[in-house]
Amino acid sequence: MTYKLFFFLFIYLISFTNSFSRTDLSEDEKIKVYKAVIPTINFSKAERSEALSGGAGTVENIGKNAFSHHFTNLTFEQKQNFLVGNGLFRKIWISSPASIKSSDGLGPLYNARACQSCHIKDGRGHLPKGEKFLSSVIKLGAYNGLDLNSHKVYGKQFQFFALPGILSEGNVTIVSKNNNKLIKERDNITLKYNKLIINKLNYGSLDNNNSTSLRVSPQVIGVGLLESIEQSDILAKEDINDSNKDGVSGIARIIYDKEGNKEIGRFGVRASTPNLFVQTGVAFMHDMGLSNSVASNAFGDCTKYQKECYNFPTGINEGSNLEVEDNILEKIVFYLSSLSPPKRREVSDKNVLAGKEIFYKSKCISCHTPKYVTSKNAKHDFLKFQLIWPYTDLLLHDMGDGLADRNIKGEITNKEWKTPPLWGIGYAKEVNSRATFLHDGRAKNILEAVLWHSGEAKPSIDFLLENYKKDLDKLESFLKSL
Amino acid sequence: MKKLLYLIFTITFLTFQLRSDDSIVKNYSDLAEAKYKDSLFLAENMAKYIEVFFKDTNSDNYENLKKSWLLARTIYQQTEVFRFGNPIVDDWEGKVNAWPLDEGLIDYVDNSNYFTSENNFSDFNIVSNSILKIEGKIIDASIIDSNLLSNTIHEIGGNEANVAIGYHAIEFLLWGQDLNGTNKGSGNRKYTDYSLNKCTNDNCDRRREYLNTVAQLLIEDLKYMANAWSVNGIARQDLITDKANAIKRILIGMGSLSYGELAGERMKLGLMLHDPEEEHDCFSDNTHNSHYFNVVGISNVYFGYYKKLNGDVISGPSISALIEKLDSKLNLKTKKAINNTLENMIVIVKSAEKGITYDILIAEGNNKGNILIQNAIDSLVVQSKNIELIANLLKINNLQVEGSDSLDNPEAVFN
Repeated sequence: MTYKLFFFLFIYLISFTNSFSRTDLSEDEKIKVYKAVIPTINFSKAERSEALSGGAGTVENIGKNAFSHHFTNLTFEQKQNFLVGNGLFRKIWISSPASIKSSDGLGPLYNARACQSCHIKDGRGHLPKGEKFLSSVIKLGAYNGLDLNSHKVYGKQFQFFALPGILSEGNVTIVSKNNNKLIKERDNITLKYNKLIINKLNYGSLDNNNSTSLRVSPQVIGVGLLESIEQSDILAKEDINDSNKDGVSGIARIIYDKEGNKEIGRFGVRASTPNLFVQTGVAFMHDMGLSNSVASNAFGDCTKYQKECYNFPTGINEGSNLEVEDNILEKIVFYLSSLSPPKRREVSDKNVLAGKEIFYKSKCISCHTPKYVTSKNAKHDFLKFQLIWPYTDLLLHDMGDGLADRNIKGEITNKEWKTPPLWGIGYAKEVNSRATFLHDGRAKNILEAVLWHSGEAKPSIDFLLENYKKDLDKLESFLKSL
Repeated sequence: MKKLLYLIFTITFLTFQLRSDDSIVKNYSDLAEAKYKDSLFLAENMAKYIEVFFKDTNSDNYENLKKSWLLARTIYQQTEVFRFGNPIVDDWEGKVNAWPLDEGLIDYVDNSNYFTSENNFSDFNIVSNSILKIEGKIIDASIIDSNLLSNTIHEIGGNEANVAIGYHAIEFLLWGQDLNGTNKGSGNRKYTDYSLNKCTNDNCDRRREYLNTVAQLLIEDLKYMANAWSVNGIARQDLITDKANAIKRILIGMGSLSYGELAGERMKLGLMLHDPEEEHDCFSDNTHNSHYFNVVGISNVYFGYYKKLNGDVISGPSISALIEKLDSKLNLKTKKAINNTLENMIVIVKSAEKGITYDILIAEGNNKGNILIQNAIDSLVVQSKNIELIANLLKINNLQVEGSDSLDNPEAVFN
């Protein structure tokens, strides 16, 4: 009785704070949703529907294709759109001029010719192993706060491919190095970081301040649901100055659109894009050199110092002056929005539950927020009002010196990272056997990725190693069940 | 007493319904078995033509071999309706009908418009290279065998375009690249690519080895699927034992092929981009037949009818007959919709037979041609809507295979 009274009092109080200001819900629904997203304290059994990471339509599929399925509750019409989008996602773009106007416009400089070349089977990319540099990129430029200002000659990123008649931007190899300091700290587990070796630069040298940041392509499952999380639910967890003194200070990345409207960044390792349309447009432009309504340079990531680029014909279409029309971007966005995270496995297994308890008690959930109920205003029925389990707060956190981006001199340029969603992480190596973890793929396995966490996560990792050192395998079982 | 009568009536009705479901599922499985067996027969037939062609490598035997591939497609395409709704078939399908493919993986391609591909394997050219470097490792490919092709090369690097086996790999080996864009003409490979004494484009012996291996693999794979639909086969048992979902799965197969795969990925995308690279049988310009026989397959499932290659007829309980009893108007509408699609597809087939092939029809600016394709897409959409109505009539919610808490019951995922 008293418990109930306190509970309602609590709800009453909470409804006055910023933390519960959803405008898409009725008062009754607010309470229901609030109850649904409270993290559990009972680890003796799995929570109801915990296995359905992506809500009601979560797909149950294992193996290589685990990330390539749409939610189960699509209409025939939506399925058709999904398949058309899938066709576009794996479409190989070609250079101009070509007889097929709508398929050309690639380059002149590019990282890949198709979306799926990097997002392998809709999953992660991997680091090159004595082969062409594909499915990972190197971002270039100087940081101003969270913003990366592109390099004046090379642009936003290195392009390792180019059309015949122009040189690609260069040649880079990656070596894995032991991080001695962390070996000592983390006992028996060897953590290695990646070192970039620039073998060749075809457009002049890079200045010392330039940040060279390696990024492995992320998985693309569940992104429609991440887009459907209400802004207020993200902002509720923001704590820029750590006013609650828990050592964790999440920042919501604010992005301004062309009209100057504020939006929260959700995609990219530093949450630099607010929605899938913009994210897709930016990727088309920088990765494949295809102009579109989001990023409209028909010469892709070429800068004015790369004069050779401008001798190439573009693939712009009459009327729009773009190489890729909005209807194509929209189809791809629909495709991405309907990719379901796979259903979890072994949720009731003893070790998995024990690992879950460790994850919660070590306060990993401070940033890896377990669950949300998506907006009732989401774009599609299958995304609306779903209880989802992404394990992210979509906020930026300082992850310490070890993980930080650095410039050529080796100085730290940025330590903030957006918490990545963890759903599907246990399937990553099934989908792409060469998949590794973290933004630059330095962690060979999930435990290494955990141990790389520092900065705001340091208290959690210290607590974990102090109290559960012998049970790290259980933690791993839990993460692998996601 | 009244209650008892009602109960008896309900039970009788349900039993009848269940029994009729069982017999529809059985007849459907018989169709699947017969069609995979016929596909197998035609693949074996093609292998015989390969043997003849290899023994006496001349232009006539080459043309006959190509004809045997075209013939093999007529039945296989009819089986695609079994793919969706039957996970066992869908998981297997990539081995026999994977498409589109980055053909440079297999053999020589035109280099005049060449630029570095980011696909590490798109210039692999297994026919010319007996040593391959894969992810830093050296692979001995001096012998082209089924293990090399299906276990090492197929889908290498996780890239679905790296297709090394199946009908379309054979198609490329027989026709070569179609370099005519949206203009007239298909791939134009010469029979001398297989000639041991006047070999063109080098490595004819390895090309023969490749063609032979991939044809044998196709036979093995089709044998597996024909067995899977035999009386105790896994695909048949998987469907029969899933009593609650069997009819639903049959409808999903028809609907998904109509709406998503055929109208969507295979037709709408190509039309939208006006891109012959999106053409299903692009080397041989046989796309019109591929699409047409897909619809024949859907029609056969609806009517529970198939005339085998040996002339025997399978005809039995069908979805059509069931709907006739429940709502004859809906049955009539569905029949009309399927016939309408067949007619629209026949228009495309006839056009192709006159030389205006599918790739010409989808060309930018060919408004008349574009309309023919759009008509077929539209009729497929109407057909799918009828399949959805049938599902509603049979109280099948949400045409989905995987059962989970659905949107109709959003509460189910809370608490």
